[in-house]
Order: sequence, then structure tokens, then C-alpha cells
Amino acid sequence: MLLLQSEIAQTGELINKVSLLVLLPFLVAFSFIVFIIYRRNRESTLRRKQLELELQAIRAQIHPHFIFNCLNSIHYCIQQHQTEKASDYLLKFSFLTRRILENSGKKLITLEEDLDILKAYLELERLRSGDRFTYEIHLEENMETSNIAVPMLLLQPLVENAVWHGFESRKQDGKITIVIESKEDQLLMRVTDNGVIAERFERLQLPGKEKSLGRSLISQQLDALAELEGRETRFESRILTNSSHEHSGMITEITLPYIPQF
Amino acid sequence: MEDKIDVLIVDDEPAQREQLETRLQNLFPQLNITGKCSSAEEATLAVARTSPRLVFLDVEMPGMNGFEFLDSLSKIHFDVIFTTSHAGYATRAFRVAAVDFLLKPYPESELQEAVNKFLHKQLSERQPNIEVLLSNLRDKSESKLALPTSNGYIFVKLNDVVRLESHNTYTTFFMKDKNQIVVSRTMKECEEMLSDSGFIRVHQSHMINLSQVKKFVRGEGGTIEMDDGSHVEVSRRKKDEFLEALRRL
Repeated sequence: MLLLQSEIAQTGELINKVSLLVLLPFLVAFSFIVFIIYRRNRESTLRRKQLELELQAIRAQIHPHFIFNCLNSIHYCIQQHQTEKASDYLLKFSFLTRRILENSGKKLITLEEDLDILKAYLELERLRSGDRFTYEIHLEENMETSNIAVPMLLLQPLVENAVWHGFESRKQDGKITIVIESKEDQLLMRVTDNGVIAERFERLQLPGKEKSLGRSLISQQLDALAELEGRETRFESRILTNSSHEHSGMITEITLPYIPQF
Repeated sequence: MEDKIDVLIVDDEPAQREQLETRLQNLFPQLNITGKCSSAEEATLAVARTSPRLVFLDVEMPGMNGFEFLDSLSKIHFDVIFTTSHAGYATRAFRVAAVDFLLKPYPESELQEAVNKFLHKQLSERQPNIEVLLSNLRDKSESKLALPTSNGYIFVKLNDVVRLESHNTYTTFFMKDKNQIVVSRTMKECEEMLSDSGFIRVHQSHMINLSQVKKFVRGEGGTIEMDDGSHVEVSRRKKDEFLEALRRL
């Protein structure tokens, strides 16, 4: 009986050994897969964090030159003894700065908020240029601007380019039109202006990064957003010509992912 | 001349004091500026000497700030319009207690509006809000919220609010005792007011009191069950933020 028991025990051990040998490769493969998934997850979390930080950082670059443009204009009003105008300018500038500061920790803000800020900026530029231009913003009907997330002030460099480099020769009839609409899972932003300074058209022909600081800021923001969302973005500008083949302005189209806020 | 309203200006910046005085003199001849103080210490003496009916009080001042100044008085016999240059904890506190304030720099129209409100109300109608503001600042855990009603304000404890639900321009407050209070404020305004008071917006039309979450069922976004048994949907985009806030609690 004793012998039998030990035999059984031996057989049991053998079965254990065999099953261990059979299971081992599976176990190794399984752990390996778990490890790969874990690492990939960790990498993607890290990359996400990095991209979010990038989005914040790129945006932070916009503000200094933009803020000093405004201060410069207010200074100009004071020197010209335009007290009322300087005061109006300063209150609008204060509204704008506050909004930008309040949103500075966020990588994306609502389109509603963003348009408020952009309008304040446009008003400031109108004041500065002595109403040299007008602007219109057209939204698709029933667009829920409070539930669409966008990078803050994405369009600001385009507007600035039109105001500072496009309208210099114009007296009163400068015009900026902004159209925003959605198309399936994309958001389309179109900025058209009738600024006709030759230099900006020459600049547009330059390769990639040499075009302008503003344009490269937009590209960087869009690239980060594209990777973050795993979706495509597009950014293109064209020179507009009239029937007599003269330059008549510029159109820029930006496509970005439609990101609901909620 | 006898029934002019005595006003005191308290601000540590000379330019602010001068500007406010000039504006008030131009806009409201019925106001009589009895003093301009550069600190809470000066204001303490001035209040005792002149018993003003209205005080313009700057929040950020070296030494004792505006809130500490009010706290140091045994009784407040005057109405207050706060002035501040920071849109931060102070402005949220003003909104929670529905106390008037001016965010510097402000246009003349806002000054006019604030003074008109003061002129058309009795001190007894406005005093409770200031008292709530001060007690909220003293003890955050017992904070009360001023909700506008047709004839004034009702004060509810923040801890008694379970959740908020929006319907366009209106927001319904769901209370612990199953009461519902409808307020003509947008969800966005409520969010700005309550975001650092333990509330979080988890959906386009829902905001919840984090301390009254019973359980969370994961889904694409997920569903929260609140202590009162109600269920609140969490949007996909807000899930991570909600879980993070819950962890930090």
C-alpha cells in the first residue's frame, strides 16, 4: 500500500511537472503581453500629458507679443491726448487680459468663450486702426458654441496678420469675415480678408516655417491637437484674385476635429 | 443738503480713491464723500467718527484686508460695495453670497448700476448677504449660498445641495430634503460660482456635489448615484475629470 501511495505521489508530481512545462510558455507569453499593454498604456498616457502641456505652452507664446501690441496702441492714444479712446481701449484690454488669464490653465476652451475673446481682440484692433476695417462672424445655424471645445485664440494670428499687414493701405473698407461650421466630425474655420499688401503675398510663398511666427504657432497647435485626438487637421491659405487678375485678399481654411465639451 | 448720503472710500491706491470720488461726485450729487482712507486702520477710525451709510471697500490692502476689517467691527451699520482687481476666490465668494462688487478697472456704467441698487434697497435687505459672505469666509465647511427669489434671497447650506440641473436659462437646485429650487441663472454662471466649493459639472446639464456621491457605474461616460437616490449621467469627456476630483476629495 505504501509503495502504491508513493507511486501515486510520483505520478502526481510528474503530472504537476508536465503541466508546469506545458503551461510555462503560455505563462511567459501572457506576462509578456500584459507587460507590453502596460507599457503602451503608460507611454500613451505620458505622450498625452506631454501633448497637453505642448498645447498649453504653444498658446502661452501668443500672448506676450499680442499684449504688447495692445499696450503700444494705448500708449499711442495717450500721446495723442485721446483720453476717452485710451480709457475705452484700456477697459477692453483689461476684459481681454482677464479672460486670457482665467483660461490659461486650460488646453481647450469652449467656442463660445473663444469667440468672446476674439471679438474683444477685434474690437481692440478696430480702435487702434481708427475703424479702418469691419468684421463679421458667421456661425452655422443652431451651432452649440458652449459645447464645442477649441484651442484658445487659434484664429488670432490670422486676424492680426490681416490687420497689421493687410489693411495698411486701406482707408475704411478693410473687411474680415470669419465663418465657422461643422462637417460630420470636423470643425471648419474660414477667415477671409481683403487686405492687399504685396509683402504678405510674397511671404505666403516662402517655405514652411519662414512664413510667419503666427502661422507656425497655428501649425504647432494643430499638430499637437491632431496627435492628441488621433484625427486629422488641415491649414491652408490662398491668395484671392479678382476678375482683372489682381490680388484682392487672402482666404485661410482650418479644419480641426469637432470636440464636444461634454 | 440735510439728507445727503454719507459715503466713505477705502482703498490703498491714491489714484483709485481720487477717481472714485470724482466719478461719484459727477454721477450722484446726493452722495456726500465724508472721507477717503488708505487702510483698514484709518477706516476703523473714520467709521466710528462719521457713521457712513455706504462704504466702498477695497479687498486687497496691505495689513488688514477688506474682509478682516469688517470682521473686526462688532456691528456693521453701513452698506458695502466691494472693489477688487482679482477675479479669484473673492469674486466667487461675492457671487455665492450675492454681494455687489466692482471688478477694477470698471466702466462708469457698472458703478452707476451698483450705486443705484444701493439707493433702491434698505440696509436691512442687503445686510444678510454681507453677513453670509463674512461667515462663509470664516468657516468654509458651513458655507451658505444666496439664491435669488422673486422678493429677495433665500440662503441654503451648500452641504444641503445634492445636485443642479439646467434647463436653458434656468437651473434647478435639488436639495437634501427633496425640495427643488428653480433659479434664473445659467449652468455656466452656477459653475463659475461653485467650481471651488466641492461641486463639479459632469455633463452639459448636470452639476453635482462631490461629497454626496454614493456610487459610480462606469459606462462610456458613466452614471453617478447620489445619496438621495437620484441618478446623474456623466459625459464621456468629463469622466476622467470627475474621477480625478473624487480621488482628491
